[in-house]
Amino acid sequence: MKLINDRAALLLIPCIVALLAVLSLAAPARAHVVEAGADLRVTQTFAAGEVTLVVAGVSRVPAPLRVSAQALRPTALGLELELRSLTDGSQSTGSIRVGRDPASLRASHAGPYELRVRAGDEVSVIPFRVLVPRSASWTMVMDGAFLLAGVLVVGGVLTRRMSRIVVGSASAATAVAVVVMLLAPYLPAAQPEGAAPVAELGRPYAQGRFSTLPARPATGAEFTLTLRLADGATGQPVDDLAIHHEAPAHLIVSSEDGAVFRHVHPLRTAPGVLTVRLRVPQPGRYLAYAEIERQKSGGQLVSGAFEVSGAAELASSPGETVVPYLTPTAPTAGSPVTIEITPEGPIQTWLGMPGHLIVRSEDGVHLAHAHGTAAADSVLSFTLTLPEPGRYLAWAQYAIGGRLVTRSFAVAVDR
Amino acid sequence: MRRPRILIAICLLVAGGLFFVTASWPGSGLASVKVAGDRYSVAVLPADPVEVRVTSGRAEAVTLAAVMPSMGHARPPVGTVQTDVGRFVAEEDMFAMDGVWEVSITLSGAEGREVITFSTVVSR
Ligand SMILES: [Cu+2]
Repeated sequence: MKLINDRAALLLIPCIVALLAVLSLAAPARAHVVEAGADLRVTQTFAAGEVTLVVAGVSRVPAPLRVSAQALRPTALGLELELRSLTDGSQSTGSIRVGRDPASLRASHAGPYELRVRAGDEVSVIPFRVLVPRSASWTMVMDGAFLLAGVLVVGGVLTRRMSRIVVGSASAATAVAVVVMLLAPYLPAAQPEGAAPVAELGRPYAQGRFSTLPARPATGAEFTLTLRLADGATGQPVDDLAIHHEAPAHLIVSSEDGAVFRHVHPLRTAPGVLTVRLRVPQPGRYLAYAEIERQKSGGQLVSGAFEVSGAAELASSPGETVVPYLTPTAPTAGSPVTIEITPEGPIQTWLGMPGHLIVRSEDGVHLAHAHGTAAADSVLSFTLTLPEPGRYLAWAQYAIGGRLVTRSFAVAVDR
Repeated sequence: MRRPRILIAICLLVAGGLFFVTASWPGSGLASVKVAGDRYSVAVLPADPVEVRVTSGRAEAVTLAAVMPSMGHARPPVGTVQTDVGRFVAEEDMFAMDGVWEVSITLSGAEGREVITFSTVVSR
């Protein structure tokens, strides 16, 4: 009896050693930007038009990586793609047209990649990671122990030799399996292969500096607006932007008086450098706000301003306006107000949402970006709290019939 | 019967082992990290002293700089000495503490100058 128990215990020692060895091979806690098995959608505003690049998720490697481009408005825009592995430098290329068949690029392994997207003379470099699911090592231990127990029991029954060693080993294997199973909620889940090592702590704030090329843009002429992002602690370029609401950065540009409004998605041209080409019809001071989100951090807003010279373009349209339905009808500072807008038709999602509302205080100090819900009869409803009395300029954006609609209005908060 | 006691002992051992492993989760060890830039590719041993093996391109000089993004730490750049063809070893220790570090490798040589960046977990 004692002998058998000792043997069972002896059998267990290699079992536990193997368990520890397998567990110690597991990767440390990691986080990622791109989900395995889920598409990555990145919206980019090129001078020729805005497109959403869709990189189809893969569940294993090597695999073809399908990249396609979508746009609200069908265009004939062609894009040249170049995928480069940041691990071994291997490359594959392809070309796509908006709304057409995807290009099949090649992901030979998990890990970091760079997708270069060229439209005319503009190039955007989109970093992302290919992640492949991986099962946790402890699940393998559990499965292995169950398998061993099963084999021993079945083998014992078949050979009609239910010796104490067989029974003891089977009990031991079952015990290991059950213990691992019971501990499962407390054990780390497997990190997908190719994930970046990311600390659980957040990141310092980013500082943004806006500049234009030429330094003094003229009305009606194309200019480049550049945002350089620097880490608030180290001063190094910020190159860890998470894709949020389908873009690494959402840039809101409005003339000081609110007559001109742009919501664009700048291209990453170099680490920490985002650019977009714009053309505006009115001279004067413009306010720029970029919504960004560093990995493992919350969202943040960086703002700046630039001046445009020249004469106002005569043909410039005043833009579409709307009279929204407000609840309460006289909003007060610090209390929620619900803003309802009735779109002129069935709405499509844009940037993953039925509707967007951007609200700027007249002085430019406050900027809010609310997302709407499509209530009954496709009424778009936004609820937000305005912080102080004053006049607020607002733009509601939604997509209808392949067209992005921007409707402006003002909200007065009297007290 | 001793078996129940043995089984309980086994369960405790396994549980203890698992908790030990979970509590002191080891880092990525000393596996070298492959990183490819446009001009150069390297394999890096991300532990002090950091060793950079240039696997493609002819680099003549390599400098290293480490940043801990979550802490907002930047360490002064560190030079390297070439110990073998294409093998550069940092002149100083770079990682002041355990955690996730971002290392920039500045290479210059026949293919020009390039900065290659990668992240790694340092645990000592
Ligand atoms: Cu946006």
